[in-house]
Amino acid sequence: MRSEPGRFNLKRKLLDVLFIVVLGVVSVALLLAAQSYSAPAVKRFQETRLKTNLLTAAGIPWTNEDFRSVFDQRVREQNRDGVSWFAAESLVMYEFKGRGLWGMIEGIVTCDSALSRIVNVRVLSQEETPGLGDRIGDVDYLVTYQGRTAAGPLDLALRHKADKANEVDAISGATLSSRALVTIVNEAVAKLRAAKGEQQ
Amino acid sequence: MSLRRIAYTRPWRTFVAGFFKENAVVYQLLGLCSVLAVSNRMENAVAMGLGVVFVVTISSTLISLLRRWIPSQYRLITYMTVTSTFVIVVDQFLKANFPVISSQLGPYVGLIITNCIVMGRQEAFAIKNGAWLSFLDGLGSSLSYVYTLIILALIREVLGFGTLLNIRVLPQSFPPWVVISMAQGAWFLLAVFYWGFRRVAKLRPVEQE
Amino acid sequence: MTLNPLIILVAAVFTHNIALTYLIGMCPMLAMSSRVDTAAGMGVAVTFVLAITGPLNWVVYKLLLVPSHSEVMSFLVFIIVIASAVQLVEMLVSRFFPALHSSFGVFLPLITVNCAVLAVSLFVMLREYTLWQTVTFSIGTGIGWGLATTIIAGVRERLVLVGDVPPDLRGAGITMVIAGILALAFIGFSGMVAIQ
Repeated sequence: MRSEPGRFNLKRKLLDVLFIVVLGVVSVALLLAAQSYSAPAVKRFQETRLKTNLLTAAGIPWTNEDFRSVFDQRVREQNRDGVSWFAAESLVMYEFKGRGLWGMIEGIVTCDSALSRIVNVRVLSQEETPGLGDRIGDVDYLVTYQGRTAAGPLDLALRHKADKANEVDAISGATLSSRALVTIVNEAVAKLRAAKGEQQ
Repeated sequence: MSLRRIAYTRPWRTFVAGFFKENAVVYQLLGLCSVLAVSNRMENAVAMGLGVVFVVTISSTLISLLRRWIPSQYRLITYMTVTSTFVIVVDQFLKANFPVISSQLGPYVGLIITNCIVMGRQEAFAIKNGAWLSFLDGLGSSLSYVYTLIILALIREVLGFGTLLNIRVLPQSFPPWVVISMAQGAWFLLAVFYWGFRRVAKLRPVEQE
Repeated sequence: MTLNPLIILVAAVFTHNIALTYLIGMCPMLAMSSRVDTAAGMGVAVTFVLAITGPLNWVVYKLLLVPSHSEVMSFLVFIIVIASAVQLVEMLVSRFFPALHSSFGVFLPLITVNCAVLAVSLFVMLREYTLWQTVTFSIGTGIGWGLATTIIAGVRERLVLVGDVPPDLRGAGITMVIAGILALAFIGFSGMVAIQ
């Protein structure tokens, strides 16, 4: 079949569609294969990351070899009403997850067992603006959460340095990311309080 | 052949065109979103730059190898499919084997897939040229993106944070220019770079407004 | 969080403008902002494409990708949906508005690679919007992008009349300066409304 410009060329059109179908099938296959290839390793990495961060948040020393056994010995997982948290060394730690500006923010908030003070906040993963918002993952920034009150919600100190027990600093040029984190932490503490109730 | 004669060969000229005169950012006006966002710190600029070089060179080569089969009206969708599949597969590989690097590069993956440079070079060059030349064209353009990022980051990190590669270079008493560390302020710096590129390097494109 | 879809619409146009606040979709913004009528026309086309692809990708995500645990294919699927929608729009425009079609030229199919279109689908996924929120967010984003481009085009047209832009800054250079001023101005909206 000769292809003439302007005439409906069935063979050409079918070949084009075939190309697209093959491209689509190959791409989908590659993506699904890549996902299943990486899934077990990703799971292992997330488990490692969670356990080592929980140990660090509770101030328990660990090494690459023994962190699993240290975790099993010193940290207890508790749950109530579908909410689960971790307890160790008279501290409680809650894993939180929430929306940032560009992606999810995951982390751990650690409080004393009476839920009166926030001991620290650690961020496990975030996807905020490089150089600005992503500083919410920096330990140097998260220092602002240490020792703050857990009795009520925290505010972002925008025009002054945070000096009250219910204030945390914001990152200059990254107000939205800072606000996202403090909102997520407040919600996490509230959820923890609601679930833990008066239980010791 | 002698070093001098290499300068006249097609591969060399292809590479230099992308690297020099046809700077991806200020001449071709590609990849602007990521330049504004990522050039605020040197380490981000370098990380993103390396990622872009990797993706542009290989994607261009892939498209060039497939060029005889790509139907004309499905060009754009083919570019995007090939590029995004390639990037995501590499990302999954990194997640599995180098999780720390992967978590640091996480936010960049999306920025790299949608980076106009990848598609720009595929459409302008790779679809009509051989694999080796397409590779060099991609390499030249992406390296021009990298040095643009580095020059901007040099200024933005020093003025915006007072550091360079996280090493403090300005005294603490220097008030940081937060505006220039944000993407909004970077526009002005980019305009200066655009102006400088034309004026100082005397590289003026043929078409003017 | 139950956010009023109309608030999302207004926010997407002004306080969370995708081009001036999130700085997404800049390349076509620079290219299309030399004249007000092209800019406005392109804004309408982008809004139309967004109005289709935003909700459509929501449906595909909820009904196909999530139940089959194949979120890794989100990017790819969204891109295919967008490319198809743009081709559909191009066919409609060339049939019913041929003059507009020739003035758009090659830029109509390039809506496919306008990062703003893909970003909307990704944001909708991230923020877990409902269908109505997605509809207003998509339309609002399109209007916001079109608004930003048209404002810049208006300023550029004026500057051409005044005529003292340095020769090496003409074209994209002065557009970058205008975009920067406008982006800084839009920072003033920051924090007014929460849409996620």
